[in-house]
Amino acid sequence: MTAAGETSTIQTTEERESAGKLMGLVVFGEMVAARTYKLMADLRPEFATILRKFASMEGQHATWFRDTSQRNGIELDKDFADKELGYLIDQVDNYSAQKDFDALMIVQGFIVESLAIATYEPFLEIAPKYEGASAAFAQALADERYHVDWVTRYLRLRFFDNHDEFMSLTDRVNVQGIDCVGGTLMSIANGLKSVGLSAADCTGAMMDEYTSLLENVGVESRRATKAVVSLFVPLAQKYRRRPEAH
Amino acid sequence: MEDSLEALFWAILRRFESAAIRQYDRVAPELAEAAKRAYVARLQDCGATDAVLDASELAAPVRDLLATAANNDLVTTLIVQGLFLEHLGRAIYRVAGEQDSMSPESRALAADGIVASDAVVARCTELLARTIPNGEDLFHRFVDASRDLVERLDTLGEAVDHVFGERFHLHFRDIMGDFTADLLPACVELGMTRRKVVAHLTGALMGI
Repeated sequence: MTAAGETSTIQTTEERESAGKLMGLVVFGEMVAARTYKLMADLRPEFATILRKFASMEGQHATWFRDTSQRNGIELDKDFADKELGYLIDQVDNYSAQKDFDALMIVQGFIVESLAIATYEPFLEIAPKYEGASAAFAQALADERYHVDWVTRYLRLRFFDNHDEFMSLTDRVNVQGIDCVGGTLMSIANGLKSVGLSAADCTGAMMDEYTSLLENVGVESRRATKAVVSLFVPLAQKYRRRPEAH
Repeated sequence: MEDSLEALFWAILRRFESAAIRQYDRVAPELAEAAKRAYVARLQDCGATDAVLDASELAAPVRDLLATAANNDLVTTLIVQGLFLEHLGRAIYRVAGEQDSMSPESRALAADGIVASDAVVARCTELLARTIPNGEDLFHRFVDASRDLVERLDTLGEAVDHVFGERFHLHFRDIMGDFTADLLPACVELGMTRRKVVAHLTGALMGI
């Protein structure tokens, strides 16, 4: 998938290393997403067809992004990705073992997808720097929005007129989910800057995206904002106080 | 006020509210509402003293935050004091008011603090909308005026967690959650983009 006028213009070693971390996280993250949707399909036969389709789409994204990386000479940093994704995989495996389908919906369908949307969307502006990246990221972004749309519809029906139970679910899942996925966003903050993205904008976008999703399910705006912001604040503070910041 | 930790809590709020009314009197008289002035007078008699605050680890971060808020410009005062710090105060009152660990007197005083702020916030919104009607222009002024404030607030928040967290379950993360939930619609009402405001606050908290 190549758009006209795209060429690889990676200039510095720092940018190449950052791109390796980011693309590593993207490729292996998409593979984790595919696996999560498959686990969800196993839990609920009535949704297996659509969830396996989502899994296949996530797998396709991983393939596109791996190809894009190769064409631009970006070496995927698998060690970094493994380290960042390990905590998420543990959470997914735990919910899967407990057959907690709704918790998986929140983690994958809302939190992980919010991170993807919050980073893919701004990446489109700098994507022409990387050969083949624009088309791959644009289609992946559209697909992730499609997934989120379905998840939102499911959750709206599942918790129709029962927003307190929905908030209990999100409160339960958020503590580990946001700590994990938001923490990953903090880990890639410097890398985002190296490739020309704003970590503040991406973090803000993820918070706003996730808040909007909770609102779309029917949670009152103030309650949704409070829940999301109060979990991100410690992450932001931790990032500010990291040793290399001083 | 018999409880020394509650006395410290109110000494902080007393100093913030006193500084607010002084700033309004000096730079933005239209915000010096009678209800706010009456509330400040009430805080003077609530038993909290400056000495309690000055002897605590909160003295320096409170002083730094207030120094950052002090200025001679009307628009900056409207943004920093009338919008940002008023909403922050309301969040503190709201979170404190929900804590059973606070005395009934303190919870009632906190509830009255929100009421005293109502007219100031409404007037400030009106003045800001009239002074800078373009939301994007206002957002840039908001960013310039509030960045240092968020950084100072972060330092104060750490001390708040340390001093009040265990006893009152008063945590900076909860205050920021409540504050942001209050501030965002206010900013959107003034024409700012919600996502941009969230990104600004996050970036300032992250120190980037």
